[in-house]
Amino acid sequence: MPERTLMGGNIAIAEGAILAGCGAYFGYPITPQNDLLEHMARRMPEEGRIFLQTESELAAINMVYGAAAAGFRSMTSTSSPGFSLQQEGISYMAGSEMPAVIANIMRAGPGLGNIGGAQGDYMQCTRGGGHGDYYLITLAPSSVQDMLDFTMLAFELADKYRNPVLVMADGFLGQVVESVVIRDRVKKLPEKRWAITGAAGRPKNIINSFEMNPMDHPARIKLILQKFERMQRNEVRYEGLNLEDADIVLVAYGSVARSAMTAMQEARLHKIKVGLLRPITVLPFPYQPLSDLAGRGCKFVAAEMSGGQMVEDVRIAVGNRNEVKLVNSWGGVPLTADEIFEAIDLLA
Amino acid sequence: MDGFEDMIFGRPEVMEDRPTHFCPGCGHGITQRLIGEVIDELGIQERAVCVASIGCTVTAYAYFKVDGLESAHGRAPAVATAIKRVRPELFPFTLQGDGDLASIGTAEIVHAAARGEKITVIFANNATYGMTGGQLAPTTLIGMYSASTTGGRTVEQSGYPIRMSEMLATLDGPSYITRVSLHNPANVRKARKAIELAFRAQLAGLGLSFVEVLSMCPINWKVEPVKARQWMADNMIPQFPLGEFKCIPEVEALKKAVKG
Amino acid sequence: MLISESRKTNYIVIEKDKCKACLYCISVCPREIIGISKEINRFGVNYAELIAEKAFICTGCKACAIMCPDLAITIYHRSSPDDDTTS
Repeated sequence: MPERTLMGGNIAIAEGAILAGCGAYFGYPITPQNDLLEHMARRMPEEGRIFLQTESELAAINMVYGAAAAGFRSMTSTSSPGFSLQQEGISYMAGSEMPAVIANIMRAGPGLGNIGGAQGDYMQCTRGGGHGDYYLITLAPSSVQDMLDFTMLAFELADKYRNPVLVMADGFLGQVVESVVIRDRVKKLPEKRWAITGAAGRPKNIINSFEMNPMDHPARIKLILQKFERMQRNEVRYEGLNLEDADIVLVAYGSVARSAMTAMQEARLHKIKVGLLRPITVLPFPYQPLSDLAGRGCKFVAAEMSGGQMVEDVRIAVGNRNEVKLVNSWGGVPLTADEIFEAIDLLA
Repeated sequence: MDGFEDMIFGRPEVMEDRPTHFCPGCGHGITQRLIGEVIDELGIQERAVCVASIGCTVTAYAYFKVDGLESAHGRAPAVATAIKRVRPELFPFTLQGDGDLASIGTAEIVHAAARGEKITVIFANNATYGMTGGQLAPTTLIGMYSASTTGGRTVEQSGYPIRMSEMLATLDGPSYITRVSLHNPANVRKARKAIELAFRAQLAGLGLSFVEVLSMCPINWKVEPVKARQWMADNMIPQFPLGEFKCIPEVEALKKAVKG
Repeated sequence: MLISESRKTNYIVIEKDKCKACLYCISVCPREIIGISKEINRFGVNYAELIAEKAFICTGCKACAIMCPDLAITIYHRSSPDDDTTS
């Protein structure tokens, strides 16, 4: 029987990383993910692995890059303002095709904002907050079990594509405590012949995102663009509930998907045929299933804790075929099931 | 007379046989060769890691037959820190200019030094931003021309040049901090010894070793190379005095091993 | 005494297509045995060149190579077999 225990969301990310063989964690204190850093400060040395609290998020992301370049599974965790500081480093890792995991435990913004949970970083997390042509895979956990599982998945995908992968949760989910199944540890980590291990008995390995001859640069970017095409083909993940007979489809991710589930059940009691599509990868986004539902004549309600960002992806999928309504909260205030139900009711 | 013939000076084994992209008279070419000589001397080619920075040293890894990587502007000490911590058997060294280290990367070098990271930092101070065309650097001298202080640097506008070696020497983490110059052969020989000692400090597992190298940048100083050497000696050395600013006993003990 | 008669001789080789004509070598050579070529190299500059007739008075001090930023100078030392001391 796998071990089951109570765990906070942030802690589940930390334990998921440890189970996945994360060999180096670099982080900087920022609410609401401090407990993740503190947990790693204790647990990584216990595992004989590297932990370092850095002088800034800038240093942290560049240390993740250094450890990744040396062939280690490595990660950082931060929250929105810190995540903004890490964009250049993430762009460098994407440009030099380095695998790494970043956890962004979102809080309200912009600016100092507040430490309440929010989803206002959606565009930054799905349109690339850094410079240049690159793409991440962005996973959106909705439960503490997801936080553990998606972090493990993130390390798999990062190595599979040699690309940074983002685990994007919000401050509420980070603090929630739930029952969690502890997965088996990853036994064998992938071999990385490209890594910086010392040029002993082999030609030197160089890791960079720059070409001395400008004519060689487009070819490098093409690799990154082709990589994203593969991600779009192979890595789209979502969960569908009651979609078979749905007239109205709720689209919600992260902790809002839980409120949406309650609203869906409430609506079903009122004989309103509501389904829920929960994107698990918000990048690459599940456009196709939404488009199919639109083709069937469904209407859509996008529910999110932001001014309205994910709704734009829903509109991309649906086009002008049907109505796409937005119900949202912002500023660190959670979006409740009642608010979502009201939006459904108006549409029904 | 068919005596045997031996080469008494040539390209270090660890260095690629390719021309550099540096401008005529650029000090980076000399500094890189000195590093190559030291890597050969210590036999660490299979463990050395060239951590390049952003500036004229941006492709330093192209010149050494060692593993190497790029790092974002100012972040080389952080990248080197991570590499050394996850693979302590490796031998990361950074090669950074004054824009990279003394401006955008100040936090990284200060904290790597404060933590006593077991890495070696070679800091080329040429008092300008070479790669981008000679703008004001934190080390640009008062009154010195730069592309962004056309009338010459003034204290009112841009404050004072930073003496990084002295600043870092106030920290307990570093084991060896010195400033050397490339303005003549005798000083290049001293620079070679300093770099070797810094590398030996890392070999001995001691805290951060730091060599600041006063380096010519004729093209941005708008001085011909040969005059640039003299200009540097006359103008930069007074602002950036040469010498050791920190040398813990363990490093002092390593000095007798230095070939130079 | 001209060094050439001694049994120890040194000579420098300047790789024409690596020299960027910074002329550091010329400015530090104690015997001034390096000059500027009339020809230009692939950088389009009049590169530094050993003055043939002065080649034999090189002392092997390596100042030129030490100052060269482009690894353009290699220095050889030839000592005859019965030479008892090696520099």
